[in-house]
Amino acid sequence: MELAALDGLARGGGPLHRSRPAAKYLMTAGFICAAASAASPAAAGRAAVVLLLAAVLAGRGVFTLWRLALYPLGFAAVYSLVFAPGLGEAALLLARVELMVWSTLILIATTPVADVLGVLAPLLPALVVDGLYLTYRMVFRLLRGEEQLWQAMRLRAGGPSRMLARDPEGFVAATAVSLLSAIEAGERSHQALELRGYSLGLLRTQTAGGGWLLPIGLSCFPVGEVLLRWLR
Amino acid sequence: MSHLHLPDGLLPWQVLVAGWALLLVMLHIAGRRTSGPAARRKLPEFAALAAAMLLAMAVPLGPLPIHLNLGALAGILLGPWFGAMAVFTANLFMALVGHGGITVLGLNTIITGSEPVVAYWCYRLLGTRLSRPVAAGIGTLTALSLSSYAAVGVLAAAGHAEHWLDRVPAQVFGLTAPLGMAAGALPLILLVACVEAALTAGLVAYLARLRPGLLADR
Repeated sequence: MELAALDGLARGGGPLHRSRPAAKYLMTAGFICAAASAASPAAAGRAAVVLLLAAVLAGRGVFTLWRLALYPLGFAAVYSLVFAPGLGEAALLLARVELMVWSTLILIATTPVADVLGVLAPLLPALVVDGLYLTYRMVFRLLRGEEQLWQAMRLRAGGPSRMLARDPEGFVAATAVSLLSAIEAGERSHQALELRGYSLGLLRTQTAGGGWLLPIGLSCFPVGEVLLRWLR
Repeated sequence: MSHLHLPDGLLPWQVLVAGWALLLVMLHIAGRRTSGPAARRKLPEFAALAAAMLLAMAVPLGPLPIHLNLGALAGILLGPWFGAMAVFTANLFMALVGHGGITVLGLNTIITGSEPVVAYWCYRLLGTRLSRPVAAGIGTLTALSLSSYAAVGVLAAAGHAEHWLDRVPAQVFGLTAPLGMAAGALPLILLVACVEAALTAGLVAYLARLRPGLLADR
């Protein structure tokens, strides 16, 4: 998933980075709408041109996005081959998937996670929003804990970690210990927050600022095409 | 396992809207059921399990488009409502990085969110007669099988069965479309469900020794 790479990209200073997070959500919704309803290669191509422009405006890291966008291709290829009646339809389906993936990746690569989740804060229960935020932090804690644990086990066992991975009991123990240490670390953070008066709503303070024009303007073309198609 | 990973634009919009409507209802109920200071103290556990699910879902098992979910474990440790919210959290992050469509998020969460609910109740019911790890393993196996068949059922009901039937040996079995799809997917579903059931049983055994208070029935 390369969350750390996405985090780094989101801290950039491109024109889309400076736009308002809510506007970028609307832009993403527009792109997804256009991608999902692209009924011909030409329509998919036109949506791709606008998305490419958005990716360029997202600043550095287009190649990272390209690499990340390839990840769901394997999953999508299986579904495309199974469900699409012909190769042409399968290719169109894959193009739609890629357009959709690029749409969400551009959002997440130009918006810090706190802002991405902050937009959702008024729409979801406070516990869920705080849970989302803590989960994001916990992913890195778990990864670090797992890495340290495997390193320690490798050093103590004196063999490569692959040998340990073949031992199911060792694998379960390592997973359980990582999980437990993450939970305990989270509990300590939570206690500290409670001592400071925390009672849900970590993300209640919304980030303000940023323009609407660029994201809305970008999504106008594909959304307009979808609307025109419906009206015809 | 039952995570659909379907791209946007494949399923009919009625199915997607129904999925989102069900998701909003589920989140609303879950939000009400998990309010209060006692529930708030579960937040770190909830976050750790959602993060573990996120990591498990991001790692495909070999070349096959399948992975572990840990949704059943979330149900056994957190209870059904917190478990379902953990599933939503993991699915949302996955959708944001392009793994599974945004429009399918509702459907994905409803189907995968059934795993903690089923696993929790199986674990509760069987836990009085069997040992905890065995109850957890059986609960996980049941939950994963049901949710995987629910996913297959959604695909069949969405009208894609005829293309599938051209490619899998459903005709050999001589079954109708949904049953044929289910039969075709059976070996894969059972394989992954068994692996995850064994892992969940092992984790429950380990956690029951180290910190029994973490289990939802304590």
